Amino acid sequence: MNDEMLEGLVRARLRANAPHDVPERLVLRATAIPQARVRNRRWWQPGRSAASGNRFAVAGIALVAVLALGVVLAISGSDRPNDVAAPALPTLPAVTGPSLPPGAAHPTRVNDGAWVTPATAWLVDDSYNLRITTDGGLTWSEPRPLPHDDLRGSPQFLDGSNGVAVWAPQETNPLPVVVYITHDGGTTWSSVNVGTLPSQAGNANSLTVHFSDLAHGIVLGGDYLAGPAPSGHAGAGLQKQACAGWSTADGGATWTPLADPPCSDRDWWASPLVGIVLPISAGGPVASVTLDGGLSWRSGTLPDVGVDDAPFSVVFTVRADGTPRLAYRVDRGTASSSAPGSATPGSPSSAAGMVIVAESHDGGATWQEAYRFPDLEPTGLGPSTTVTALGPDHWIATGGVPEPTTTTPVPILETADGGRTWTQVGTLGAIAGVSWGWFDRLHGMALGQDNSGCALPSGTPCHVSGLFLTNDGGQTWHGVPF
Amino acid sequence: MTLGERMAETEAATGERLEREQAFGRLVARELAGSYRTASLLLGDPAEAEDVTQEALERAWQRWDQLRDPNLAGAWFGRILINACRDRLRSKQRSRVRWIEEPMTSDSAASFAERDALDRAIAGLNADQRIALVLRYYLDLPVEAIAEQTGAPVGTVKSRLRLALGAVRAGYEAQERAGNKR
Repeated sequence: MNDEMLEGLVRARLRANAPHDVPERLVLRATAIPQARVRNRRWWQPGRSAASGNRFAVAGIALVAVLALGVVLAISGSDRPNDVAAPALPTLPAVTGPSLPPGAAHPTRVNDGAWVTPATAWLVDDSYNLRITTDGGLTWSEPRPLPHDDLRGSPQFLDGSNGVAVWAPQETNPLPVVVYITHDGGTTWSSVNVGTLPSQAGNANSLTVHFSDLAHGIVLGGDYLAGPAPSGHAGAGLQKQACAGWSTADGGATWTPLADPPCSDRDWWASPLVGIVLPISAGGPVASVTLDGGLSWRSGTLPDVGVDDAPFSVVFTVRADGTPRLAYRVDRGTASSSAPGSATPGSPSSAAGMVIVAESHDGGATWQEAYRFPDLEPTGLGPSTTVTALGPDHWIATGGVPEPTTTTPVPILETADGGRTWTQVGTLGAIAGVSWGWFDRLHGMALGQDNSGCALPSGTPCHVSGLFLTNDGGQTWHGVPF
Repeated sequence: MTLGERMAETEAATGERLEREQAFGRLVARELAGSYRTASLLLGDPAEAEDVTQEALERAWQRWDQLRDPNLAGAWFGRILINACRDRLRSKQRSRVRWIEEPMTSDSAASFAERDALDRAIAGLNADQRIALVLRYYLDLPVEAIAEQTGAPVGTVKSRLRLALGAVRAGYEAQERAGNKR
């Protein structure tokens, strides 16, 4: 046998002996090493609107809906055996005066945005122009038009240069799905036809794109038809009509259909590989977890998601031991049950007004309630409560979009035990917008909105907009000029 | 303090942490599967490979500040992994690798006896020879890259590969002779 033949045999043996699958536990434990913060880290997630992607618009609708319902901020007890005692809600401090600059200096309204790194961030203004900073917000690029003015959701950037966005028309059948890719910070975009999503005109449909690195990405899409609510739940529901997904391993040049993708655009990622998708609305209390960047998924039923049968206000993290953990608010509406799928419409839920923290010990196939704690909204955070996960157990919560008559600043709360106990560490000040995320307890940012209906604690109307930063725990806010 | 100073302070205070987390996440996404497979081949035990891969990732995270060029994170982590595997191999002084499950049709040209002979020969290599063999014939790394990964001179890597292939050949031919006698 010559050397070449021998080398060929050795190659074949090594490749045959190499394991194909990576153990789930290794993926999860690796994800937990840096105590990874979640990428989509809004507790109340007003974004990902299939219609417009305008987070403020959705938040406003939610606020109106909550007010219209006349929600009773009651915290109910529970007879569930694994309940923990409800902690006392934090006490609010005295009003702190605002230090916001006048809104006239910040005429640009910010529609959406996200920080990629502390130095790199992108914003989309109301004219659907993209701006990018690579120096921590000191300077911003000139406005660059997005590839389409009706993108589904927002762009995703991996760094200051490489970004991706997805688009499909609203009412055609089938829906052609197009992914846009930029490698120069949005100066130029190329388009790739991914495939088609079957659709009935007029239905709700969802579409999202996620890249775990420059090469690997997925597109998930779903189409829904209005229908009856799931068994035991009140109101109307959405019935899944058709779902599709595609993956790429060559940076988006070519796409391959996924075999059985989850059907929603509500996705959260604890790392580039580990993510979770939740139902779009009334789609059943099912969470789908991926450990390989979206190539494969495992679905399990969540405990007690409340009246809408769809968990919302989500924090998704992975504990240090590799256990996926999902925290979600249970609607304070009137129909739910502590047993999934067996609720009686009109009866209060044992978990109504609570936050359920569920964990999965089998990679997402089953979920168990680990503990629960009272919803933070009654503390003064309001319905736009935002939670930033700085680590699996270390979260910071705050709010925004104050009511027009409010004179009380929004508190900033911190927990080091996954929400079991909270401590007030500051106030948000008089920001008239949505708190946007925190790097730590001192350094955060917020998007202001010119809603002309808000008022500062002094009673002065707050015509402010744009991006604001704080480095003192929200006591003072500083506008980013552009 | 001016606005610019405040914002610079914000950036400095939050600075490298988020970038480090995200860069580490990208490293995991890119390298995890290949690293686990490589560790499995080196250690011959998937469970042990899982532990060593995890240890190597934790070590990489702890030493992330030592990574000077993020573009070289993959090669840098590869060295950490190889060192972790070498430490494990040497500490255990393995005499035999327990290969994982046999695939059904991946190399049907070779008989079971031939495959077994090859596996046993590879399993009998010492740590350095096995590392050189796996990097060369599984990851298809050139000799120079293996030298970079292992910290050994190019000549030493060539020598290890020569010895490793010689041992594998001897094992394979011994099996062939035994088969002919039967």
